[in-house]
Amino acid sequence: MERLNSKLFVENCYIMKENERLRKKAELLNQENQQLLFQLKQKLSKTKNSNNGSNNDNKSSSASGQS
Amino acid sequence: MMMVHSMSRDMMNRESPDKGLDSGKYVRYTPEQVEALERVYTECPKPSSLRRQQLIRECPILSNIEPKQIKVWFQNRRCREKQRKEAARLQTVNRKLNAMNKLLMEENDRLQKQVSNLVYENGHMKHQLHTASGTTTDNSCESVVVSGQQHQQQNPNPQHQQRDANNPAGLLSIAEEALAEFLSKATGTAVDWVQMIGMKPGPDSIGIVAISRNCSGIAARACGLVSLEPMKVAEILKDRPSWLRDCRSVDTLSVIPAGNGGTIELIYTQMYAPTTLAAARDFWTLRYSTCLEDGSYVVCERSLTSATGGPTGPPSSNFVRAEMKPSGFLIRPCDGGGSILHIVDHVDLDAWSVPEVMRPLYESSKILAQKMTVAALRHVRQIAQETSGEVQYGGGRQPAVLRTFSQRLCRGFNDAVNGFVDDGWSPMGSDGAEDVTVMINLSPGKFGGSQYGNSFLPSFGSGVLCAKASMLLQNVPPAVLVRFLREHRSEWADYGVDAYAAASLRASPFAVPCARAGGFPSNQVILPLAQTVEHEESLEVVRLEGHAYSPEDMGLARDMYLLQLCSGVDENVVGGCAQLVFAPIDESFADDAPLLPSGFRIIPLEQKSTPNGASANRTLDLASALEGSTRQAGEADPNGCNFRSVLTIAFQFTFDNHSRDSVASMARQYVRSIVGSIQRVALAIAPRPGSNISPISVPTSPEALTLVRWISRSYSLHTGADLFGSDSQTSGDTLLHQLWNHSDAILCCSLKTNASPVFTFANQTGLDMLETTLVALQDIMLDKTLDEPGRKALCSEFPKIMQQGYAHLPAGVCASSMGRMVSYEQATVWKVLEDDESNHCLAFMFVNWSFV
Repeated sequence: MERLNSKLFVENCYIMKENERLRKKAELLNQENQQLLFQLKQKLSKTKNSNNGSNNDNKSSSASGQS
Repeated sequence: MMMVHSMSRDMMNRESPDKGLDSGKYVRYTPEQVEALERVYTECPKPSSLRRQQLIRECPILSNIEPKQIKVWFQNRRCREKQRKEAARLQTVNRKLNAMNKLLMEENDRLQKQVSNLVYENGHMKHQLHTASGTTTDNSCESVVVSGQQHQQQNPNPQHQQRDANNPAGLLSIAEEALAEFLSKATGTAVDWVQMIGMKPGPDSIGIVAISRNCSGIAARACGLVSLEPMKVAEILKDRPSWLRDCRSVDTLSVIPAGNGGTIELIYTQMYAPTTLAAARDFWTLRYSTCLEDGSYVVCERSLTSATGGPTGPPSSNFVRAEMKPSGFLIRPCDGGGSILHIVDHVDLDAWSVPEVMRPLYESSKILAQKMTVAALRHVRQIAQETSGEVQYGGGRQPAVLRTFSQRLCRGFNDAVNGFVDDGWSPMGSDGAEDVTVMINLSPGKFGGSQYGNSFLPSFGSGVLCAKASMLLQNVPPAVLVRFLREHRSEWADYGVDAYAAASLRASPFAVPCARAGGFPSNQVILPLAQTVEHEESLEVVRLEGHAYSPEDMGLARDMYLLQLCSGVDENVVGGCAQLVFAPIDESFADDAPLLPSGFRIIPLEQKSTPNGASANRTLDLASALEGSTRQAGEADPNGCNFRSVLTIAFQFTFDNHSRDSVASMARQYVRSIVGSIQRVALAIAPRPGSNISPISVPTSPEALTLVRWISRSYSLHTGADLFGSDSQTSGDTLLHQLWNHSDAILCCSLKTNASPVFTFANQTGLDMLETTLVALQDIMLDKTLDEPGRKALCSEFPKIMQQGYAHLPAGVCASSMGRMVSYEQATVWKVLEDDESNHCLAFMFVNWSFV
């Protein structure tokens, strides 16, 4: 039992480390995501403006709600 | 030993049917005999030989068994019990580890999904950016925005503007929105979470605790496993005053069924201010409790503000309105019974309205985590353990009763510190100086309301008076100071004042004493009553042994009792405040005994920007956590040079109409004298800045001078030689410097029969050898420092030391507090005598030591 426990403990530690790594990765990706979103929105508003700007308010509010 | 016993047991029980009793070695017991022995065992697991003989005489069925066998039976029985306990312990640890494992796997799963989602999304967006054609981007952008947070989709009505928040439908939409936001914090990354430093992983860990970074307001979240059903957990946590020590009251002003089986409540909550230096906070919130589709139960809560809409809360003059951002708890049923509990607290305490020096207290997510988030988790776990019967409790009291004592002590102290007008407190004119505030309460029955019961009113004379003060401390670790205050009560307390406070519980009048701290040294004995599961808080009874001032007072020289609550003495806890609160209690210790608490609270003020910003934001380093260096992480802050904390003192006394003014001036003087004592203590225990650089750090307290005198006097008395060679001085200061700068390591360690010896003092070289400071020194045990041969040598020489006063130990090896090996050529041990020749401590001198 003791051995099993220490095995579990080591495993838990390993997962924790792994989770930490994933969290960092997610953080980076999220930043990238935000950036891309921003670029995309800029592009979108450009095309919208050239066409006919209408639904912009709605979109920006839901986007900020997410961050 | 254990091996032998267990072997003989096995043989006895299984392999000895053929051996007769005559063989004298193996015995086979009949069930009746076993039953008789078991009965005795439950009463006394370790009977004396007399008792065993008596047993054979009195119990006819055992009469054919030899006494020696009975003895062996008991030995084996004890051994079996020990093994069983160990197995049970291992099983508990295993359960916890498995639960933890499950939690972590889930988290891992979630994170992996999140990462792959993001990778996919980002790829998609990159693609869109490169091949963008105006018409198709519209839809895909929409999906990108929403798919990141699944919970957002549950939100039926995200438009603020269209909502009429005063009708139930409007409230429901606020509630649903709060729910979605809460869930995205509890299981997602809506807040930038970092794992809290100092919360180590492992079987004893309370769960996974994280705090916010760079978000508006402060937030903390915890996730852990509890062995209670979800509904029970919700019921416990919803009763906030029962577990949140700072919560003064919770009023549910209206309850609205939410249609989908959930409930919406409008709640007004008042919180105590932690010190006298800032106003208390209150919250006006909407609380939404409901079941989710997957069978988990959620309670979420958020403030109603002008931004959210909804009815406005009750006005409050003494409180600053704080904001609760979507917070709450998510309780998911667990396969093997029990629940997985996620807690999120996210508040904005309006830090700008408090004095600048206090601001860190209101801006620290660590403190929030300790005080609220972890406290909630701890409380649920505590109750779970009590329900399962795992907790041992003291004094024959139910754990619930003891917990009520702790709550009442805390609440009473908070009431005193805050002095709310609606409790009946009013300020009393000062005596010119503003350092100590005195408030009186002429209707003490009013405060606390029903929780004191009827017994409160008659017990406290015509009124209660409270003297309080707050001060800033520099470089004093709160835990160390509170430990000192607890263990050395006579250093600051006045016996006469204690006696006055105790006497107010009785009908007999007692003259108001004039306060002088440490006037009469009184012995205190601390009797532990209860300790919380994590040992972060302990309830105890302090017995103060009686003295008589003069023959006439003999009648009053009786022992006094204090009920005392001590918390935060563990230095390793991050962001915790340390507190010592006590109230006189009469000998009856009735469950509803009136309590009028006084005491100290020390709250660390975390710096807003640490010089190396990395340390504040450092995430948990797993490898170092494994090696136990979380301790260093915890200590790094208090040892920093500009570490500040705020100390709040409040003392309460009863008075009669005629004694009001004299009690007031006594209380004021008393608090002043205590402030003085604490300043002295603080100076002595503040850690040295840097390591060995400044020679100023010689302790110069009178106690140190006396100790040094005793050390050197005892040395020359026993050995006939002089500690400092022939040219030694006898004047205090010089002596102190000589000892402090002595080239050999000189250390003192306590001399108690019932506890393992710890170091109490060391000179500079001694501190260098142990790689420690004067403060940390007192946690180092002699046993841990000496190696095995060293311990053996000391043990064998110990009688000689006691008789002749000293002994020399041969060359050996010992370990510093950091685990470095130190070799020494010789160690001299002598017994340090006080002026009246009684034993004070043991002194060690390690000659010619060096790190190996």
